[in-house]
Amino acid sequence: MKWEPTRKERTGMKLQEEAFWTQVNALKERLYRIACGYLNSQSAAIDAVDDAVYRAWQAKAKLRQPEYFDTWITRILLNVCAKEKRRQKREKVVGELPETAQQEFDSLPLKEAVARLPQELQEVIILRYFADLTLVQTARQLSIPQGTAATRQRKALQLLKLDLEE
Amino acid sequence: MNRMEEYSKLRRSLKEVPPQLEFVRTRVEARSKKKKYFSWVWKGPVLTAVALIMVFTVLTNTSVVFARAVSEIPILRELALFVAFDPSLKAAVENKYVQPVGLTQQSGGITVEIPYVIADQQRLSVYYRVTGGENWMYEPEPNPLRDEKGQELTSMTSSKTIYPDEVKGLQELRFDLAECTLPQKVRVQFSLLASEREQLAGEAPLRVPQDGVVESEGRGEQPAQVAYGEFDFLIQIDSQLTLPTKVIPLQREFTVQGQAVNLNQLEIYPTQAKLLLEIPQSNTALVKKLRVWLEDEAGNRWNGKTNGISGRGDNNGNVGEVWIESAYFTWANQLTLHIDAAGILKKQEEMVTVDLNKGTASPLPEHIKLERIARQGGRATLYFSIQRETEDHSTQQFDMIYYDSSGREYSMGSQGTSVLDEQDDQLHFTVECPEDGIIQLRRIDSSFTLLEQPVKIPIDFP
Repeated sequence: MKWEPTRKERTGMKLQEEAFWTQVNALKERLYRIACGYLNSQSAAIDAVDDAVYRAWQAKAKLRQPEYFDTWITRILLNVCAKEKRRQKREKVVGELPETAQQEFDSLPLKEAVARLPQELQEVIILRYFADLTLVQTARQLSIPQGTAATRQRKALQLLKLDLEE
Repeated sequence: MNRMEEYSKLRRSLKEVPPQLEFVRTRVEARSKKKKYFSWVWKGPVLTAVALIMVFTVLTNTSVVFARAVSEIPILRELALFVAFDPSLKAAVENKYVQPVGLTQQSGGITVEIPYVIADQQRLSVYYRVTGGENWMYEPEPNPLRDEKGQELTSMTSSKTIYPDEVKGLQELRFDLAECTLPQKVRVQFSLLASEREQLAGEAPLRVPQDGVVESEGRGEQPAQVAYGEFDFLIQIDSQLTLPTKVIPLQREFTVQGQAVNLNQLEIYPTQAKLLLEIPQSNTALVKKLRVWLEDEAGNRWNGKTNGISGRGDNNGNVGEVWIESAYFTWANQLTLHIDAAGILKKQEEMVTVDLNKGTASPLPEHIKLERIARQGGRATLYFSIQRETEDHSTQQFDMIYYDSSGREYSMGSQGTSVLDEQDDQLHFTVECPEDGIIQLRRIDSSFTLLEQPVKIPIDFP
């Protein structure tokens, strides 16, 4: 027998949908800044945000702890951005630089230098200084110990020659 | 600039949020709706392809790599490659605007399979494959499109010869409707004449500079026919897949070389866009064409059609519709309609008088020359060379309807074009020879004149 939602269920579903969009609207600028940091292109960042929100929309029923909505959707966005970066790498020669390439980092514009950080360092920098997350929030987002997040942040700031408060 | 200054500048730039971010919800909801339509269709007739369809649905969740995802699915990869050079159809396939059909017929030793169609309210593109003998080539002869009851639908048909090395791939029959919309069931009828010759007659012209008239035994050696098949497909058009047209009223007027042009409205279909015009009869010259394109905020362009049919004329010799590549699937919220040039033809230069006995034609513009006339009994084939003005210039210079001295109408049926050399194209067609040997051709094209003030109209894209 085909399931048809009752009127009460349809109202409930509608409220959940509106709650989803309320949360997305509150987060989308931050999601955009994160995507910009990864993809270095406005149009690619918009595409990535669209894609992440679409995936989240499709999978919203699976989110068991709604209080972690922002961490969850940010994780989806990070995966979308990582996938796009891998695709870009297959098409272009330019890729990540190793931590030992200080001279190369020094010669690049800041935006380019961030884009060429090793992935684990880049993630921390983007979440901390593009999305304005605290160190605690960043560690939780990346599912790493706070100390590890602090170490990666220090290394990245050193490579970028940025003197920013921790 | 030191690193901290760069950092401050970067932070400031990130605060400038692009307007497209405002409409994330709109785009995501639209994408969700398209996914539902596609899923509904695939549950229907093509049951044997269910596994591939499910893979396709998962892959379509990744918009950034969609084109690559399509290329990984055998079913649509072939179609994506076939339409790669048509921006409108390419966008349609990338947005899954394709209807599976899965029909097969055999006739006269030839098998035709129709795997897909792409349809909107004004156009039907039928994609088919042909199987027959080895090294055969095929000449399709499509009949006018008809509805379920056999009523003819006013339409223009496009098809092309299928050469032996093209036989294994997809072919296309295209039907462009006029003054009607595509019904839910259409009858697509066509014949296929198969031959084994490498060249059809009439494709290797000679330059004859003296009198230009050549008496010939025939049109050249006729191809050896090896098979003939007639096909009649009744195709159900899925109404869920014929997305609604976007109609944008314009009501703007401009003038070029003193001639008025009224822009009525822009209609955007999934596979094409049409700019509808009205040219006053009070103009002293004819407006034959416009150079038009659409552009979005990011600088993406949708140009006027350069391959195939580029528009329609009105009943007074002016352009009535200009056809443009479709921006239907763009995410842009605003488009700009640009017009920067027009083709103006003086009314007294519209009709060209051809003397089939003397081999002359006038008045002709500088870039068109009558090269030769091949007579065969009561018919004559005319060969014109046309100097290429631009990469996208039109080789169709004359209307299909022509007249004798008394004003009686005749129809050519078809015109053939080919590349002559680096500078010129060739146009040829066959006419009936009236008793006095005089016919009149109507010119339908002219060179572009730049507008002194190009037109730019911003459009809020629905």
